[in-house]
Amino acid sequence: MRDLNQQLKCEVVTNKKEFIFDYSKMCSERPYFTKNGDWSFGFYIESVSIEKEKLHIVGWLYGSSLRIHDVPENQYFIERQHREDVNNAFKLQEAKPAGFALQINCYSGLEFTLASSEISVEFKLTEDDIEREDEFTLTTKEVKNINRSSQKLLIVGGAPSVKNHKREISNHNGDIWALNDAIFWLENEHISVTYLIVSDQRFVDKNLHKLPNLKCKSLIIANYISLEKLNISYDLLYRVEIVGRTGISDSKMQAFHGCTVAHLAFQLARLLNFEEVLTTGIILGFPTNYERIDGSKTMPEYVHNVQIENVKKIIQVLRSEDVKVQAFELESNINYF
Amino acid sequence: MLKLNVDFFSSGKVTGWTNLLHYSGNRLFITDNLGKREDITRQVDIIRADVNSTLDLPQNIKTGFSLNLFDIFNTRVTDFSFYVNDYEIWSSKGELRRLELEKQILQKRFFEIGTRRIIVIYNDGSWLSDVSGVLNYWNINQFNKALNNGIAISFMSTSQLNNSKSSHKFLKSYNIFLIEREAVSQAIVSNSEITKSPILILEENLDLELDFNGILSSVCKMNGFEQRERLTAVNLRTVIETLTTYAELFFERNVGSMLYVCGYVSNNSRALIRKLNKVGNEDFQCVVLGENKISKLSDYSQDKFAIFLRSDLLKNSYDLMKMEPKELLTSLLKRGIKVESLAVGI
Repeated sequence: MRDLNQQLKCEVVTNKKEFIFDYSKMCSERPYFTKNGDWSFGFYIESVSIEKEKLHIVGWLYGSSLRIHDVPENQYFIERQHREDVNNAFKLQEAKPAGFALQINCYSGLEFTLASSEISVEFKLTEDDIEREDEFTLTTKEVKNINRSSQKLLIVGGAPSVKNHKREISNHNGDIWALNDAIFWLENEHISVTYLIVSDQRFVDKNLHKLPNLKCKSLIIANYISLEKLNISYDLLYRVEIVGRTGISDSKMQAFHGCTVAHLAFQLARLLNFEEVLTTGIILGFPTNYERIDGSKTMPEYVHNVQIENVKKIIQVLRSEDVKVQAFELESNINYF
Repeated sequence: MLKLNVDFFSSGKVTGWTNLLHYSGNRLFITDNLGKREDITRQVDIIRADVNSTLDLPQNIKTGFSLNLFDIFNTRVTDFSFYVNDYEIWSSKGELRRLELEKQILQKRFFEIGTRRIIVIYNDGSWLSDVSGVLNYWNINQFNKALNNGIAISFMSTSQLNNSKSSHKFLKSYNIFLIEREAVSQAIVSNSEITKSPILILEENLDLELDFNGILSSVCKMNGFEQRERLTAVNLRTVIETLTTYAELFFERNVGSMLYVCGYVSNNSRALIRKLNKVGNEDFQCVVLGENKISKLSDYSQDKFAIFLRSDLLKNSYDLMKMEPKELLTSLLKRGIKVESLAVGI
């Protein structure tokens, strides 16, 4: 148990300190306080966002009045809000509301300053900021069904061995599905992909800046994947409900997780009635030799047994239904199930 | 007053509470040993009635957190810290340093019931008795079954074992015994059922020559422990924590699948392995597969034979997997894993 008051008391900002607000950080990382005998001043910007051509700034301020410089009065609207949390935290006696919500009409080149007696914050809005807003308003077409365009499917996983099979992948005459990181390598090699399949939130979080630039705009995702932070639209989005860890689903709308995105892909491949399922970059070897095309070499959580149990079962089911299943790599255990 | 408490932590999980959300404007961050920093303010999302009533907070305020470090960092972290804004307020390193300095010893007899258990057995007054006492005194939650993937962790002396009538309990569970070298024979005499479970023989300075089943060597490999490393309270905690964090590895009881390790595989060999994997033949543990059988290890050659190992035996061989094939086969044999040569013909 730690008492943080001691540390918070160090957060004293000298009077009249100025700084440029970094829009990319979206909000200030910590509150600014001035101590003058007691906590006499506090200022915090909690969020900054652009929506419907308006810039929204939410935060709180006490011990001073908020002023907006360089914006005509008819171009902004400020709403005061009672903030009991702030009043309680700083034992504020004043009846004046501490919270504020500010709306400013937005345009490229907008520059203004939020100022109080102790601190001033400069905002500069660039062309990029406004363009980003355009992306927010695009809508994604969520579909209830997916289809195949051929009898042959190639599933490309994230093992570095895919690099040894570039020619086979390029020459593949059929659908190509990319699993997680494999998409970046494939697009870098100018190979077009039918679907990108994602069942790991970490993949989305790690690639927030790369995903919007993908050419592939058709996505199959597990239902718990959140694309909220992504600010991107897709031509096609298909959500599969994950109903458990171990098993094989008989519905295209549902799947078992199997602790690997490959299991999701195999279940869908079966239900779309492909005659041939080829794979590359899916090794399922011992975790000590685990490696991915993005350079990472760890499988931190030990889920190997679950992966093997599920993938073995689905491969055996596919083979029993006369689907030809084969991995390009000799070392891939897909070949031995 | 802002407060943060960690109830339990391992390399994969941390649970605790903080009243941070009661104070506006602060953010909670977690950083790993490589300096990766993540905002986890939104993950303080559990209503902890015990905390709220003790701190006199409104009953509906969220104070608890339970974090999966694998999800946050996508790797196994060696240590991590909590920050409120820019100030470090708790670090696993600091907590373990406190354990190293711990002098007070609280002897506590544990006999936890469960279907999967770790049982530490020591002689009264020995070094392991002291180390176990320090560990129990340090953090009572550390060995809570609910926080350790359901693994029950017990500490008991040989005299307690001798006096208990608990042999039937051993039989019903899947146990891993951690026994002080000097106590092994007495423990086995007290309860012969112990020999049916894996035993990790502990010495004050690790001696992996005594590791007959390979589990302790695997744990040491995962944590970078060297031969003769001193088994301090911190290191014993790490051994136990590794066994529980990777429960699906160390407590795997099902017969696994034959997985490819290395070598050349012909079409016939592939068909045979598929057949073995279909019927789930538990007679085979490690197979050397080729057109002919090999009669001795020196006959093995990469371009004529392939090695397949059953996946559930990784717990006994985790540290061997990057060895050269012949060295691997020798080491597997030393650990009691059956190596069979199978010929598929031309």
